[in-house]
Amino acid sequence: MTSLSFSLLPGSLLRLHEALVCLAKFSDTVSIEAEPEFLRLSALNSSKTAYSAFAFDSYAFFENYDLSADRNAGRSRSRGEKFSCQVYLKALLSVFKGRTGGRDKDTAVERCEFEVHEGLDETECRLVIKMICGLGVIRSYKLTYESTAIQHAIFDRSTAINEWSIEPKFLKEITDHFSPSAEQLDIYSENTKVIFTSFTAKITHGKEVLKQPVHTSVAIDKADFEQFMANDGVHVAISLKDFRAVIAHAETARIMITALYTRPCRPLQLAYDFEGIRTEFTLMTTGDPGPEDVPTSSRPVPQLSARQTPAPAPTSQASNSANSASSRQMPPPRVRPIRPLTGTASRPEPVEPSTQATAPPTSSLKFDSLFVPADDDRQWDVAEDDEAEAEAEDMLGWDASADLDNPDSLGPRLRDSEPSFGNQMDISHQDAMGIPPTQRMSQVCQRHVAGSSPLTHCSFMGLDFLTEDRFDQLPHLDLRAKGMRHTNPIKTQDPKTQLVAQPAPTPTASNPVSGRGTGPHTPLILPCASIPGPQFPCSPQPKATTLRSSNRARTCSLPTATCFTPCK
Amino acid sequence: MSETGPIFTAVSSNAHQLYTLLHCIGFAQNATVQITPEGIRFSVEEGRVVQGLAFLDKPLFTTYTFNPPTTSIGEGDLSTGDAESDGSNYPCFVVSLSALLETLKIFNVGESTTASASRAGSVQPQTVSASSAFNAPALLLNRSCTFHYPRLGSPLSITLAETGVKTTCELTTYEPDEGDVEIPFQRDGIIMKIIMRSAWLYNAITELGSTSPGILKISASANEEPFFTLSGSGGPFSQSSVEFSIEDTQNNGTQADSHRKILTNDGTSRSRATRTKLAPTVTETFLISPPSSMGDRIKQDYRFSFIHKAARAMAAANKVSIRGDRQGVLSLQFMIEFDTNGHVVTSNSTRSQVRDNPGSTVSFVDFRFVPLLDEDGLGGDAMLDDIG
Repeated sequence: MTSLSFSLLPGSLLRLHEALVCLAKFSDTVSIEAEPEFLRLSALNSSKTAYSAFAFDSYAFFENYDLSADRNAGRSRSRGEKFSCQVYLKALLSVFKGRTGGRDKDTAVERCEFEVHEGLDETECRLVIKMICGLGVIRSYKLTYESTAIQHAIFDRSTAINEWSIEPKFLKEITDHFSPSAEQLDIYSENTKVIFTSFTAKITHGKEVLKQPVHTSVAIDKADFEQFMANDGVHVAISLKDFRAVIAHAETARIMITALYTRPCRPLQLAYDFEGIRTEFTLMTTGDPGPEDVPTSSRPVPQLSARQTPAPAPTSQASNSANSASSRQMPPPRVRPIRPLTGTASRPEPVEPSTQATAPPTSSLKFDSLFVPADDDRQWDVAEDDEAEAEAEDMLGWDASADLDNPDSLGPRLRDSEPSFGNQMDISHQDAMGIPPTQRMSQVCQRHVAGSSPLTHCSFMGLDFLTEDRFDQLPHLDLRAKGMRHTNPIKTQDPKTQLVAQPAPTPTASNPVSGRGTGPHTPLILPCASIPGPQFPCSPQPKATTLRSSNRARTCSLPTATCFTPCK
Repeated sequence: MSETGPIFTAVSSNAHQLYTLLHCIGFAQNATVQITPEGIRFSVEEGRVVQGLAFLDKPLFTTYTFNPPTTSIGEGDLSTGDAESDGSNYPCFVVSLSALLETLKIFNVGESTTASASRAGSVQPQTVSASSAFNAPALLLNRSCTFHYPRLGSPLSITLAETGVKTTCELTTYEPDEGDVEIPFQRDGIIMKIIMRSAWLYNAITELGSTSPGILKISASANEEPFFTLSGSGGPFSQSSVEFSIEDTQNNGTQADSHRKILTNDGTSRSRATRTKLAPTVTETFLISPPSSMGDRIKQDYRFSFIHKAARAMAAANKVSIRGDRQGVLSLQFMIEFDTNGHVVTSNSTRSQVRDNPGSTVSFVDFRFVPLLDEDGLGGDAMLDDIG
């Protein structure tokens, strides 16, 4: 029999409510784990691309906190003193609804008590919450919960080579400039600037444009950061919605936010600690995972597809779930079980070597044959091939160390080789990268033939121009930075708005074929490349998604494990 | 037909008051109207298990003329006296309540929307008082509302006039259902009487409503904890309850006292000493006398969705009297106070203001609920018979 009880004072209750509101932005359910030292609330979203956790210190945060396991030790000893369950968030939030506001002074909450008794002999296990209010009013709730194994995202802080810390209000001001409909956020640094770019991939259905691509870039000085230790030119893209959720919560706490990451397609962690609360948000990033995993074959296709692969959270709920379901049902090819998608306790690190061993693209043919499109272009063969490799790469992608060794060595090769693509086939693949995935391959080809030049970098060029614009206005940026220091965001709004938020020039964004940029500093990572991936849940043309059906296998989901290693 | 003019004419200078009262019982489509010399009685019911009753008192109108129909009975002059004593001869008909409500708010669309919007966010029901220039009391002055019922069987016509704009609405009247019987409430068999601020009840019900329960359980006891509990069960995820207990005085001293003073200020002028009696802090009156068959505790179940129909009244009212009779029928009586401007006075407004204001009028809205029967069938059969 495990029993947990703790009580909160109004201040802490407010914090708890804020945490729940934040968690609600990630998932429908919240996992509650109680250990002697802390209580953790965590949520992992359905596509397993975002994980958020709040650990409340049992001494600092609670008025009192008591977790006791059964006396006749045996089994409970092996489990340790631990209680875990999962609660439907809406039910839990409704408990707090309006409680925290000061609408009714007389019956404001004075104390909040939580209690759970779980045991084999207990017929009714409920999470009991009592709000003790003024004037002797007591509100109590008995919530049903579910005992489940709780999954945590794994994030190894020791391997995170990029790190920065900043006040959330700066991030808030940045995200304020982004369109509400923007989906992704790309972050990279360049010289003295850190550039946040929000973008939405263009989705078309026939001639109808379902989603207009808009890029908004905001650059801030590295000096605005408390610390900034990230490699220049490393693009990581995360879901803007998740990012906003984190910032919104961090703002309520007014606490420095720290980001840790290694490289694209590896998780990024945002974390901050305050008032006995330890928070961490682990978000899967997309972007170019780096060329280190690419087989030595000089074919450009896998490389390009690797860029597309980042299929972030919203990517393919439909196809994703279907695929993951199917991958569970049928005895999967050897490579599958180790995929973190399944949430098994296997940690990625030890697995990786074996992954590399089993990587050879043997598997996905049978699987993907289900998805062979109607307009089976001749590229399809290659695409399949490419898919398999992408999958392999997928799993290899977890190996962060590889790319650190020689990111540069392969990078130039990629770039250098591009201009030499003579034949139609290669070009068309390049094309596929720049055009939303909902188009048919044949369309892609036609389009490409029309536009004569390889288009890969076009939209990126748009970004480049933007950054140059910004550099012209550097003095303003500095002003803004100073203004922010004085914690008067209102004053500083205007200059920033004028100078930083600029949508990408529409011609480049909408018509990627229009120009070829071979800028000297063309980065390895093309933000536009990662755009097309995420879009196809909305795709009205399921067939067209076949090319990227391999994306289900994308390691965009976070590696998770049921056993949690505390992050410090 | 009588030549004595219309049966009924009444003029109110404030349609908003009437609207507020009728809105409280606005959960049903049609209302049964009965005109009496003291006022108009609107009653609504649903499924014979919930009944709402709003009484538009004579003082709510500036003029109120009622000529009981004499000719309809055909007994000549003598019948007048009979009708008054009897009451059954007063004209009784059914009108569409929703249409009536629409009519009444025809000139204050803005007001009502803001009120409902604010209600969603907070308990405070429409403290309309001069929140904007267009809500200013001066604007309300020229607004009049006339009820007109010329003779039996004719439509009920409502005329709203506002500075030159006149709207007349004729509501078709229907014959009332024959079997339109009130839910019987045994006034001599009352086993529970609790008077408290309506806001507490409203808070509790909305609180319970957030977990969407199916059943509301009322539990009250005179001499053991918990004294008064409302709990909702049958919701999908959880069970919730609101308990009104005696405030722990050790925790907060003087502040709590001041609250208490305010609460008990009116009517009973109860001193602190009498508080030692076993009664929840929030209640002004707490009388529980369960019949011997029930033991110490009164427990009764009601369908939550029905109780929730009274939520508008709970929000608008100042005080509520919760009564239960031997058969389990629950009566909620809401006292709705209007100040001189016709605005609702809620318990959230400062109490002293109301006291000093002699012009405030008090109206009552009544709700009655038939209980859900528990499996034991305690007193259930008798009640069924009565209702049937």
